Amino acid sequence: MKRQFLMMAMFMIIVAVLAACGGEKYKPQPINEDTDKCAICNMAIKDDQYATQIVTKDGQSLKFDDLGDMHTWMERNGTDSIGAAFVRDYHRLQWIRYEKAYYVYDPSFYTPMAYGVVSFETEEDAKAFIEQMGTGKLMTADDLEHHTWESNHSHGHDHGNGDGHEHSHDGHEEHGEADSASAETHDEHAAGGHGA
Amino acid sequence: MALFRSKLMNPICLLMLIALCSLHIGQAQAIAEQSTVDLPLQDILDRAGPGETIILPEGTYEGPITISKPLTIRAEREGAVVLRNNSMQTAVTIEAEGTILSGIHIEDETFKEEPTVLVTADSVLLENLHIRTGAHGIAARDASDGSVTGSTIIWAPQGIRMADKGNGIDLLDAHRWKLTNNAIRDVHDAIYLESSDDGVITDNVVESSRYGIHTMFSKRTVIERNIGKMNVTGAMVMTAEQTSVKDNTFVKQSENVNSQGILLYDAHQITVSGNAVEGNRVGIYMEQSTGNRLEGNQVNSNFIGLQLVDASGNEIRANRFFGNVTDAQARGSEHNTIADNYWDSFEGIDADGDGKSDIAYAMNPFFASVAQKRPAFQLFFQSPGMVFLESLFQSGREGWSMDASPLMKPPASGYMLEPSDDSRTLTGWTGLVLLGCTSVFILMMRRRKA
Repeated sequence: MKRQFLMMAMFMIIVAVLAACGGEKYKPQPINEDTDKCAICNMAIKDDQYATQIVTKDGQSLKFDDLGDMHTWMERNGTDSIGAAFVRDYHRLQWIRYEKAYYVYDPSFYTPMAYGVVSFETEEDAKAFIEQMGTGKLMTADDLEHHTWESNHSHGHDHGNGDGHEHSHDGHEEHGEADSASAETHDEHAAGGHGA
Repeated sequence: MALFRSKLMNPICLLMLIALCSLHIGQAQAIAEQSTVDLPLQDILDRAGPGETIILPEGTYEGPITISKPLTIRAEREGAVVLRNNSMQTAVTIEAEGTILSGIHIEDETFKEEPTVLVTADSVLLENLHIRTGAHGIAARDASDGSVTGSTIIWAPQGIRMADKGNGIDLLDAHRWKLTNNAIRDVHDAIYLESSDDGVITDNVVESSRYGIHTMFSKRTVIERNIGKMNVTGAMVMTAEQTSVKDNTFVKQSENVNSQGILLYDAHQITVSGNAVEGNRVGIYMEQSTGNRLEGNQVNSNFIGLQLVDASGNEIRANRFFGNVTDAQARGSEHNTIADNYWDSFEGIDADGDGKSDIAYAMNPFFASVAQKRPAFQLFFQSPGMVFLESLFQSGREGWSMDASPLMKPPASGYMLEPSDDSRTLTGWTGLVLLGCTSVFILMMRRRKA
């Protein structure tokens, strides 16, 4: 009986390990700013917090400059061929699984294609971001399924000024990123630091 | 005259003379003192009243400055006035409607976030400026009806990656701007319009930047007679309507794996006509775009002349495709009207003698599809094996993009690469004269020897 239990436990461990390996099977590639272009809109991709990526089951890496464009790809091509999808943590830029990330949406948020959805690894960071910006809707990957993806570039839409929105609207001159990121650390949420 | 002869001319007389001169030049003009070298320019601006014209004498001035009342600021002599900004702030902030800034050199070479010139008011005129920037050269935010003419914008700091550079001219929510006769180079996007309608971009030279002219979410932009060289993409028109891209020249956009002369993405009712697109990786690229007209363009010596991806309902007519490695590539692009183009790689048959081929020029989607699925296979671009496989692939032919009536000879109208008869005659005569000279020379040499 005991032996059977041991066997069972071993089996469970093996399954767990295999499952973990499965998670590692699809690895996100780093963004190469010289050659990578968005698989949807053709724009050069900046190595920033807005970049997203799909690794297909046959190992091809598709990169996007905006989460909205990745969503467009999923709509056009379906999700069957996707091995894994990745987004980045807004502050620390590490790749995180699309399904595990927390999202904040507001039409006023700047993103390269103006879809206005940004991603975070932890729920606390996402909530702190909403608090800091004074606006925003917390979402999960499941919520995004029902999100009406709209590129918010209508006129009068104010994505340059105000409400602590100090990162550049252009998204391509992030050389001030360090400063604007440190400006965001007034809240304890970013205590994890950007040194990573 | 007596006044000048008098050796006892007192200071009061001198002052009166100065006052008289000033009046003579005009009430609206204030002459800044000669001793302004290294004086912060802001002091001079603060002393001037609204609507005044300030003529800056030769010299180097210190920034940053903010123009918060309408002023006309000109250099006494163009190019002799330098405004230097060593701060991390914007060198020139213009907050007053109707401001005119002319003939000034702005040196703002620190690599930073804040633009060199920031315009937040309507109807601002910037002319003949020479800007060396480490950020955006000129940025306009919620400011309309301005213009930038005759100006030069050059990126200054060395060793900065292109992705980190600022744009030459960057407009956001800024409508009806006129950007004419400017030269911009080594920046991120030379001219970038976002959510800015009715922009007029003419006669500019944009080079060695990421995108030469880049418009996003902007309507009715006019892009005419510009020259783009050595950019990643010459003109990038994205999510746009009713834009006109006419008579521009885009050459040598070929250094990047994603280069093209003209790119249309999510663009509708755009007219692309009379452009010369030469020596690019892809000449004209069009994706997810409908209702556009490509007419009378000269597309030559590109790797791919015309590339269509999921583009439908467009009209492509009377273009000339010369000397491209592949004239056209299309994938997922049905229901376009493609007619009367000249494809030099195509061998047609014209039985009825109407100048048009009786067999259609069809764009085989095989290679485009393979390259999409496996980008690395682009290595086999035009390799013999791929060409052979392509010729075998004929399925779904009725759905391919095809020119139903390709021309047998290039159309005569519009831009032509062939030299005109005049220049041919001139070349002939020059050759004859040279030949004559050589003959005389040889004959003389021989005689001397003999």
